[in-house]
Amino acid sequence: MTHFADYIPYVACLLAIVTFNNRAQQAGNPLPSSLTFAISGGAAFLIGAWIGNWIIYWYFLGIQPANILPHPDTVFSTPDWKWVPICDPVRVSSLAKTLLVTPGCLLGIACAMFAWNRQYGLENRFIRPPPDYSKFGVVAAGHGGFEGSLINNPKVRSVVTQIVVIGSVALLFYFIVANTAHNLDRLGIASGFKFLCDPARYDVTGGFMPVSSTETHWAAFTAGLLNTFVVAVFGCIAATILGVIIGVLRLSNNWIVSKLAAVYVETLRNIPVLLQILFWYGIFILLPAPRQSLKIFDTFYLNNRGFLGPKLFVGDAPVLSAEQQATMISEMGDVKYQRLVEEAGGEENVAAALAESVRPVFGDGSSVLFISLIVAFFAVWFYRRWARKRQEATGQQSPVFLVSAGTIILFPILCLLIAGTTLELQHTELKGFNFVGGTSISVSFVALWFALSVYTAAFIAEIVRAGILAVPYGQTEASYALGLRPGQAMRLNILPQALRVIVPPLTSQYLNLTKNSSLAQVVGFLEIVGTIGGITLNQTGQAVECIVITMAVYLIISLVISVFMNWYNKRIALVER
Amino acid sequence: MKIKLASLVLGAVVGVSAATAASAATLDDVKARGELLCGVSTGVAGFAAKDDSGNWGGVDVDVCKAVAAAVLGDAGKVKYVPTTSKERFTALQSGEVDLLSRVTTWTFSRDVKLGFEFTGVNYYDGQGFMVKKSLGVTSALQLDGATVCVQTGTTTELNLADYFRTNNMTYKAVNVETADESVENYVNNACDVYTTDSSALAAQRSGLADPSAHLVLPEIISKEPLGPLVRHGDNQWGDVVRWSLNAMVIAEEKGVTMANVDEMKGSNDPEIKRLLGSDGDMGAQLGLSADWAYQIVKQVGNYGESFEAHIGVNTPIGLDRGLNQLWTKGGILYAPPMR
Repeated sequence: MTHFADYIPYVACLLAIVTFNNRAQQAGNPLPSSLTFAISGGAAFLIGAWIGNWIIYWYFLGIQPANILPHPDTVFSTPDWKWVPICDPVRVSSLAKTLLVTPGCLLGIACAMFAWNRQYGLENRFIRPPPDYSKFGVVAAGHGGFEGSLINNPKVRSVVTQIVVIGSVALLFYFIVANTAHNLDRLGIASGFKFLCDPARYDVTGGFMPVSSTETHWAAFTAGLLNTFVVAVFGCIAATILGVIIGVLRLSNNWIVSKLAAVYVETLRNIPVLLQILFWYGIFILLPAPRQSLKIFDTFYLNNRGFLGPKLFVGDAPVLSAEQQATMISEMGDVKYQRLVEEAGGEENVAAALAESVRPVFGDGSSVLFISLIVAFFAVWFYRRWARKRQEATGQQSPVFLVSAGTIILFPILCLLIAGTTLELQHTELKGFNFVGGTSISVSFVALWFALSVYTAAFIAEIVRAGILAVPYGQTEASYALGLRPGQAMRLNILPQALRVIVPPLTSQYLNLTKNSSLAQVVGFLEIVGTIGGITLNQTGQAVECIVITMAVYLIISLVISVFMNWYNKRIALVER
Repeated sequence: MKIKLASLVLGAVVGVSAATAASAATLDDVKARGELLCGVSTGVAGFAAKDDSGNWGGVDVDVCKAVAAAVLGDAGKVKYVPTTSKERFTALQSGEVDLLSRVTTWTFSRDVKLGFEFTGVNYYDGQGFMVKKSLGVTSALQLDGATVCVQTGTTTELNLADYFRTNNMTYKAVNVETADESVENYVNNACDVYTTDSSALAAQRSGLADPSAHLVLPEIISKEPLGPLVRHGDNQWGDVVRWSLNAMVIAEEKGVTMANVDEMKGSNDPEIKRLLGSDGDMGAQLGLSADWAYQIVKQVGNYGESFEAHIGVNTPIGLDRGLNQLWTKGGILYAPPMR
């Protein structure tokens, strides 16, 4: 069903993007490349349209367009991405409908881009006239005018060589493919990805998204993916911070400090990372057992199963329909239901207890937090631009850091208070064998993350040191001559220049860390190699498919990191004229 | 067609390894090679483990030896390939091993979907739990909320999920690849409970510093028929492995032992005569020499001898015959007749 309101946000978004780019063009800013334009424009279009759609439907029309777009409250909490298209034809058709709702808008954006392109000539930037070599006194030699045998003709030779190369690659490819197909066929192994829709029959625990054995292999895979992702991201962040500190310390004038940093680097980078993971895991499981946990303020606990703390709920528990409650109770079984009634203190509290049991961290009403955060980030961005312009124009500085941090922290809190969103702390408590409730991070994860971080930090420290040494000492002296303090000189002058040397090798370190996260196997942390490349592979026997998926994931993660780092490198690169 | 296309695309990636897959006639390959490639576990005492002098021994290893004795006439001509629970199936599928004798549970999906053929059962097992006595737990039903050490890629992992779910209990798993790692985690308190097949529990408990401080809980939560397996589709090879194991059982049934096998050759019992090759052409029908089963019993022993030598009550593992007793003595061990 299409409502006229569907189109409003799309059209508004489209106009905003086109206007923004027009203004940017008029202000004399360089044109974005067509790829950047398409990606940023597309992303802005989707996010804007999504928020717009919800504002119109939700606040003004009071309708929940459930099958069009996810509710902003649930987008961060519902593990909706456990869903896999091939497993759910109903959802696919609903999605297809959603896509059909907007063809007019998509056509519109295409036309607008085309018109914009015509007017401002995006192509003109890329299709340059051939260089005029005549000014160098060179006369272009025509090809094809070559006399003599074909063997000596460079054009023929180059074509033949290329045909041979392509032909042999194709032949090799064909041989490999045909051979495997034949062998799989001979062994009677069915191939295909349908097994992803089957129940996994194993539980994924100890990570950041628990998956039960009744969910699909795809769900288990996404849980593994999230775990890989978390290790990679937090590992890279920690390794960078630690690496920069150690790298700078190694250049310190203080003999002890610099030698300590040198010992750190030389020790850690020369021990295989696998041993380091096992070593740290061995250390962490020496912590006391849960019943004798180390306590910090009676709120945080450390034991050999994990690090635990309270959990903060933003927003309310969901309101469950009578139908949903009945399903949950029937799934629960009698024993568990009796226990629930007992704990809730009577039948009348069961509804609340059920809702509590499925309460997401970001519950009903939590979208205020995300929307206010987005607004705060935009505000800070504009403020920083303004502050920089002001400083360039008048030389007056603004308290950029304080204002930015203040806005990003205080504005969302203020919004939450005004909107009256529930904020609730859930403490963790010892019950039976282990702690229940609250947030917990498993020891496997901590050991893995810690080992990968300190190992990679040793390499990053050397990269940072090299980068700093690559900046001539005259730069430091010049900074001091201008009256900058050593810290300021490092932050404002030396590091920005050193970054040009640091960033390319840093990318390799990030890639290494991500790939090394597959060693999680040895400490029993189920990431992607543990789930799809391990248990799923083993239980379904679809080795080829599982390995292909695993490799594709690592490839995609690595490419994303590379693209991001290359973009960053280009941004900070020295602009040469 | 769709499936073919998918397999074509997939094949592009791992084709090179599959290209080395063994041909269908495994028996000829083994004879030509003069050596049996046998996939065993990375070390489960009593089933497949290296002794102090580096020689493999155990009931699973004895299956490898029996097949080598039958095919090559020499139980020593085996190359043992240790595989983790995760690697084992790929090793067999890709032809890296001729035979997998590695505490592997015979299940429907492994038999049918994974393209394997189980050739019998050499140990009837069931999954159990081990806890430290200090926890004060006496039943698996008291394990709600526990952290459980389990080997990844096993049926154990699936039974665990089923058992806790049907009993409305929650747990956290520490999934690692080898039994040694699991035990180490268990000993270091990284988990409250260790779960695996109860035979392996007994074996591993015997290796702990103080076995009496640990308790194997009474619940057996699954059926785990452990047996050797080969690739599906090579029936001749499957028959060789199946009857090598059967020969060991029949030998025990008929009282043929390593010690008396030579005199038994002159026995009047027609089945013993057929077994030891003095009557009929059973060996030729299998593509083996006439004395194939004689070699098995002579060099490896019968099933009971193998059991008692490696996991029986007089070994540190101390397992009772239980279900693994002959059908004539109250167990379920029953080999089809040799005729």
